[in-house]
Amino acid sequence: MRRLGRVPYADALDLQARLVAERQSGAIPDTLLLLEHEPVLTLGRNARRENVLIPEPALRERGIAVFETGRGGDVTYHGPGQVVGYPIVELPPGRRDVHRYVRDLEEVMIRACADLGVVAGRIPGLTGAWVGHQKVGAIGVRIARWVTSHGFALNVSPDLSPFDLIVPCGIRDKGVTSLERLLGGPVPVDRVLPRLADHFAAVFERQAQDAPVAPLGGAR
Amino acid sequence: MTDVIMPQMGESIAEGTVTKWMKAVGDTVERDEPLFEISTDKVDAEIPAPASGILTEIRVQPGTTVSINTVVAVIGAAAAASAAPPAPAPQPPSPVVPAPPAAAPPAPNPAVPTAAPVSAPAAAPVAPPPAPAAPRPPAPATLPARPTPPALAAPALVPAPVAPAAVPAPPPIAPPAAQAAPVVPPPPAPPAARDDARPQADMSVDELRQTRSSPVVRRIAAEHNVDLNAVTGTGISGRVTKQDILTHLEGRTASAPPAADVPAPAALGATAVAPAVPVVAPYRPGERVEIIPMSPIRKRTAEHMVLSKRISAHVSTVWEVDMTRVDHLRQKYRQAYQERSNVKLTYLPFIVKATIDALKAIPVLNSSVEGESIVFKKDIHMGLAVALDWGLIVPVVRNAEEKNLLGIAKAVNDLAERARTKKLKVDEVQGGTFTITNPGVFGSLFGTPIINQPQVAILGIGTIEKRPVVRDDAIAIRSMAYLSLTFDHRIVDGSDADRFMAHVKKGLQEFDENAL
Amino acid sequence: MALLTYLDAIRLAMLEEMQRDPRVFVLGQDVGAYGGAFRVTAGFLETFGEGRVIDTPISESAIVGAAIGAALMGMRPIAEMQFIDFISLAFDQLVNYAAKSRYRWGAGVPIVVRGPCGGGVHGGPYHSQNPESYFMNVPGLKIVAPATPTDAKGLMTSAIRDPDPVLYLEHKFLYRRVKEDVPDGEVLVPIGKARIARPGSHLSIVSYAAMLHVALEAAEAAAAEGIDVEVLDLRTLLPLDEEAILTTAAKTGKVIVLHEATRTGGPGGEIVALIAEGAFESLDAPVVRLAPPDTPVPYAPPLEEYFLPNAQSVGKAIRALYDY
Repeated sequence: MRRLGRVPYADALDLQARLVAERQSGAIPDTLLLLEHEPVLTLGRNARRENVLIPEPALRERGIAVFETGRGGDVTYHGPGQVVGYPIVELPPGRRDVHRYVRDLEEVMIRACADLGVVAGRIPGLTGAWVGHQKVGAIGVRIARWVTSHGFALNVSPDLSPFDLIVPCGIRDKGVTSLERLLGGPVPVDRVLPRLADHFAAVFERQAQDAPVAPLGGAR
Repeated sequence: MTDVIMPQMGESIAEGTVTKWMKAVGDTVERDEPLFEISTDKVDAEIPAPASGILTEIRVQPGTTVSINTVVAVIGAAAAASAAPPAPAPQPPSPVVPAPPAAAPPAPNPAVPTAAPVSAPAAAPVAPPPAPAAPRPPAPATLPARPTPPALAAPALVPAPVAPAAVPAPPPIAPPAAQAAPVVPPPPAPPAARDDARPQADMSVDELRQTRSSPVVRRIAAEHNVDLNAVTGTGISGRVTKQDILTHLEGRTASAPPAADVPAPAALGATAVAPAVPVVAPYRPGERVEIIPMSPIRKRTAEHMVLSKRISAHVSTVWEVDMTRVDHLRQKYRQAYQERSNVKLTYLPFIVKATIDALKAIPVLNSSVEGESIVFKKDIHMGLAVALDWGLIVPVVRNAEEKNLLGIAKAVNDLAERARTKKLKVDEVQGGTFTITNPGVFGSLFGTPIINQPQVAILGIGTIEKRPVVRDDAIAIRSMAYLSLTFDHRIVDGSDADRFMAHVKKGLQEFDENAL
Repeated sequence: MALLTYLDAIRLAMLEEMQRDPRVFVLGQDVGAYGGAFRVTAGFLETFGEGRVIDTPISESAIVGAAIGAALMGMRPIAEMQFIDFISLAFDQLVNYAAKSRYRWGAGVPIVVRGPCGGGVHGGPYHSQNPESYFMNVPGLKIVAPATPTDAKGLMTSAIRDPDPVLYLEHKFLYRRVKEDVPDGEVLVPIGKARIARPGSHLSIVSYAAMLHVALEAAEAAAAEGIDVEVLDLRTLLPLDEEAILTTAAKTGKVIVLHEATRTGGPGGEIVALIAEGAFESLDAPVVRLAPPDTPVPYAPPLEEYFLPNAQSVGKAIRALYDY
């Protein structure tokens, strides 16, 4: 497991691409990246531009970058206060089921929420971790030869106003919320990270080991 | 030859959507190299090539969803001679053995000189680059050039092996005619030089197929003086098949008869919906686009709209109606209807009632055309077009002529509610004899709706708003609406249409309060 | 009408002819006391006696030779080859005597040589062959291969009544697997006439015997995909019903010839040649032959399954030909 602190989206994309290749060749073990991003809107393969409700120049004025990615899913927002997890794992033969993988990621987030006193659950047909009709955790995954990348994002205490600029994941009529809003008070990200790590390990039946933080970007 | 299939990404997953091809037809692929990407709702997966070779065929385009195990592409053997055993072919082996004249060598294989013993696997040292252009077959003296027969095991009639950029085999379901319409990638060997002056011995198999097709096609072309170059070919190598040329001839003579959307068997001349329609490519390569497959309801709507236009002689007439009285009655009785019968009283029931009365007076508007007869419908089953998020449907109020205004209002409310909640039964959206649609709800002044086959007319209601009008040489403010009637001029003349509309207009402007 | 298996129909035809015509008799290995290796002549010895149901030594050439002699003396013998595979031992008698007798001496030889042919029963190389090809090149012989109980009965009756030698190939796989209602009384199916088993329009399959049923199965599956397949049951292999073959080829323009005899030198080549000569201008695609590969019939079940054409392999050929 690697905790990377706050990372620009582009750097994270490069890092993931590298790690996926290394995992495919067996050079590294299964790895979970935990981080936060600078404010950014990302569009998945199935994204529709009309789900970004204001034009790009306006976004840039607010300091929000826009990225098109190779992950599944529609459009979503990442920013400080939102914990992002990118598991780079090779799904073993018994777990090669994308539905199951997505459900497992939901499980990780649901359990972490429970630890903090928030009852989250699933809505059939709508991927993610939900509290009532509001989404607290989102998922977008990419798989190449059964090695995963991208992953999940849990709204711990982000600024939720940028979500008004998009139709998150293309799902209208359902709002977005955060642990902070649900609990009515600040929730430090550092409190949530270990919960996520532990639950990830449990759900995926591993033991987490902290790995040294490798420098990002640049040729290595 | 290896089939590339849509993988199953999980136990409960039955289909996948191709989102991107990383390789193009004709490219070399290495085993395990990323070949294409698929997606399910939140997961995108990169799928590696199952074998090395040349990508000879892409059968499923990005944006298409197919069931798992569907063959989405085919990888041909790379450099081996024709006798190379096929790549791990999971299916039962093919005793498919072509008659020698027809045999096509697998993809980039130039004809191994005739002596190549059929049973010697990969014996020939010939390892050509994947040449898309004509493999030169040996030229026996007088016969058209025929490539040497492949090994027993090679299924030679599969369209794929012909040349790298093979035409994806059209799905056998629709008659070839209907396939003339979708965008068909250009045939492999450039057909530009369909120059019959060249000696046949110099032509590749592809070229022979494109220029000379088959005996029956040549015969029909000669009999009817048709230039094969002018006919769209849906067969292997892009050749013109018998069905293609028959379809072409059909299109040349009469217009295609209005046919049901059920594909007709390819009996002589029996082409159904689409005579060979020239295709305009919807986008150019490199253009930024997003391809989203049509939902079933969208497909059906698309087909029906085009079909209706081909069947009926569409003419529209627009009438201005003073809705003030209806407005007044509506206000007066709205609460009572709500309280007594829990029914929302909108404009629509009034319009439906007036329409029914007009249909009784001018019954040709409530009929259908069968061949050379007019079928007058004794009952009035009123269709009401409803625009939902996911598409357009037309629930039907059956025997509307038996209902009073309250009954109509109830039926309208009920159908709209159940349409929105997807609780309509199949027979509730069928069997209408007349349709009313409401373009005005979105603000349109009036529309020119398309007739709902097999009916012969459709009434569109424009937006109802207050406008200044002249009454008794003074300006008054009235609730006005434009009502447009599209009718089928095959059996409804302008006079019928206008009499009908005059009746509707009068019925609304002088609505009988006793009906409420 | 009676519901009969293919085997019952053959038995019944022989029974009825033996009752009708005292000249008709049966000879072969185990046909009497045992009732026939496949029970085709069960009960015959009891009904007709030793004079007309003769258990022979194990010598096919003696069986056919004796039958020829008896026929020249005015009898109507039905000679059984216990497995048609063994007919090779009677080759000389059939080809040089029976087939040429009318031409050479003006004396017809009204014999029927019948026996179980075909595979799919794990019989191995010596009990699964289809020998029609060897004899199609012999002028003076007739060869029939029914696929249905009605045709089995009708063709047996016609064969017995025919004044010249008829080779009657009964497919053992069909013996008890195929049942249908057969009309009561005399059923006569003319030798030399094919039958449209399934009318269609997109392409034709020309076949016979057990492969006819495979063709029909594949045609049904293709129908679900919108491909309308016509299936022609040849019923007689010599003489071929050339008119029927050319008619179906001209109708659809696309033909698959399907048989269980191995590919090279099999009847398919003859049929394809007829089509190329007679229906060339109507062809919209090359004519396709489907047949097992050129090997002896395998014994191991998975190999035999691989060897024989089945509905899936025929289906693939149908689709490929349709797409041509």
